[in-house]
Amino acid sequence: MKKILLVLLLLIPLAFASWQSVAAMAIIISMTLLAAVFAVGMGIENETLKALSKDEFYQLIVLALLMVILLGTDGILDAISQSSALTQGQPTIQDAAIVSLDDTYQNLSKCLNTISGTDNSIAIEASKGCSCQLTGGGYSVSACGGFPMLSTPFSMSGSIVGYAIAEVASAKKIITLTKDFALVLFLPLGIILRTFRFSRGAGGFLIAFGISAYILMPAGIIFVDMLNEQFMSDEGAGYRDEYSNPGGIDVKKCDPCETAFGSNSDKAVDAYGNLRANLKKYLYIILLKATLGPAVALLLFAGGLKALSGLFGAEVDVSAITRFV
Amino acid sequence: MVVATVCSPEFMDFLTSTIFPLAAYAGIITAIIIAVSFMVGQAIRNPKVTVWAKTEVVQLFISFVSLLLLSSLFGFFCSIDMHNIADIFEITYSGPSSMFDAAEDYLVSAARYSHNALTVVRYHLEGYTVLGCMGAFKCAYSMDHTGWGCWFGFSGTQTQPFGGYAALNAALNTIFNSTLMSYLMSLNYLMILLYIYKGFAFFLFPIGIFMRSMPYMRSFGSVLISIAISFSIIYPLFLATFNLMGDSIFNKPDYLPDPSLSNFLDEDTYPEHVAGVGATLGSATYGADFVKDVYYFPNGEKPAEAIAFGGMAFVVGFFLPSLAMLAAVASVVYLARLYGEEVDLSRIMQMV
Repeated sequence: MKKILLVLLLLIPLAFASWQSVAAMAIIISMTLLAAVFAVGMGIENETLKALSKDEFYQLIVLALLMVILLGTDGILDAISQSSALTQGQPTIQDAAIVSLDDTYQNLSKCLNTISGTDNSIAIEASKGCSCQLTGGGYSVSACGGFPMLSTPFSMSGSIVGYAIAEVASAKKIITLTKDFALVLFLPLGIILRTFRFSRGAGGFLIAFGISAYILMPAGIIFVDMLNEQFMSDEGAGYRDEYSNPGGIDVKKCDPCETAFGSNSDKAVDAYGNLRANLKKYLYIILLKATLGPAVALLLFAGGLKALSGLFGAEVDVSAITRFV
Repeated sequence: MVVATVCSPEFMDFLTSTIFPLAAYAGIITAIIIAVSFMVGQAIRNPKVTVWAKTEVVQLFISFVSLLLLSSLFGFFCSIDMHNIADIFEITYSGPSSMFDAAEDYLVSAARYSHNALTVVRYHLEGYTVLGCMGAFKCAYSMDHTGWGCWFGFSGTQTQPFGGYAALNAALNTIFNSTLMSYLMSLNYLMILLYIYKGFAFFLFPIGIFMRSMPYMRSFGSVLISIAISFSIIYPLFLATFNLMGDSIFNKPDYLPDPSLSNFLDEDTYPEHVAGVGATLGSATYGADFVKDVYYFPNGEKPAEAIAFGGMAFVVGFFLPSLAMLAAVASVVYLARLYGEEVDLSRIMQMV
């Protein structure tokens, strides 16, 4: 029986190509070392060494199971990532998340342009000053003093949109990388590293990182999208129009020389009223899609990383990552 | 490129000629103490002393095996060729061959990528800031670019045609800070790596081996070995793994997510001394857009792309190296547990 097992083990490298053969060789090397430790344990009748080698042997069985899962189903993860319930018409969940993030990025760019354009119009009006001087005498007056109050909310809006764009770009970068490399690099390398005890923590962490970033991160984006769609459809088309189609904000021209009471201040108040009325139209894109989506995705990723790294060998303190949120 | 000291012949010489003999002496001393304790335990029929002696024999054996395994471990990781690893996983890789060099290459590239992001964001920020401070005077009773109001006195309207960049400046300032942090963190992680290459392996690993062979100092030695292995092997290993994706991560050879952003790497576009006079005159006579298009953004402006670049730089320069650091810290805990010690590294994590 032992000889058959040995022959089977030696045949493993021939059965696979590329990384699988390396993983199989790693298993064999690890098994050889375990056999040596077990033999020493038997020789000096030491139960600790024997228990250690037995424990490691179970870890090798777990490793073999991991390889079978990865190979046998051609990636359970691929199956999840291609689930039609999540892909929203795209080939995989990662593609769906990237399309969603691209769409959000385009909308955010438009929002930034609109906010910047309106900010520019308001600032020009706010900076106007009227002068009239002739041979040393004259006057200067600024009757557009109501407009500067609007620059603070625009400054805050710009800051929030800037954060949102950066968040979306970062989430897309991580998902794009893991889409290309999670299955071909992180998982196989993690499995190989997990073979040896000294690198088991690193291997487990790499596997956990690969799975979390490959599945949970895009899933976070898609889940929030689905919730948003449900929210919008429940509230009806009018609600969608009211909350998700940001447009320009009208700013009336101010005449800095016109000092008649109310003539210019009403224009500033009108611009503020337009700003307030249009503000909620930005909420869907900026807060729900661009801020909540990546935040949920990152939290799912961090939670998955903690749970899976514990499952695969070494629990990681992910509090540093969750602080990024 | 700094050569990892851990792979140098000097390190191996130091290990074999100094540390191994020291560890051997410590091992012999420990063995003598164990043997005496065992005999005393037998003589006075004290099972506690006898059991302690037996446990110590096992630990001494583990120390001996650790010594051999760990020294060969460094040799193994020094001999790894990253191109072969890339071939195994069928990845296109153009970085250095050595794992330790590849780790350094990742952080150097991350710093370069973050610096490019910083430059692109700063270009926009500087442009908008300078433009925002410009003023224009529009003469009353205008006639094309001038007006009658300026012929007989000084009558007209003073404006700031580019004063409305508060929103963009706020957005870019936020990302500028974040990108600056990414750049500094890349350099910070690079300095840690170089320190590890030059200091950790020479200092902690040999001391750990020696201490672990000494009676009653085993736990201390174990922690030192765990830290030395994790930071000398696991941290570079993760960075080198990330470097396998280097062509995709950094968009080599441009180190830019979009080649058109290279227009913003050259800040000589700015008009320097003529800016104040020329731009003000230009804005007063030819209109505000003329000044903006000719002097500051001749190739157009891309604030959203600049901000997105900053976000990507955060992933490359901050997020991924932090994961490598997290993996190294997790590995310290795991290895220390393997040697029978529990280490609380939560404070180090808070520093990260």
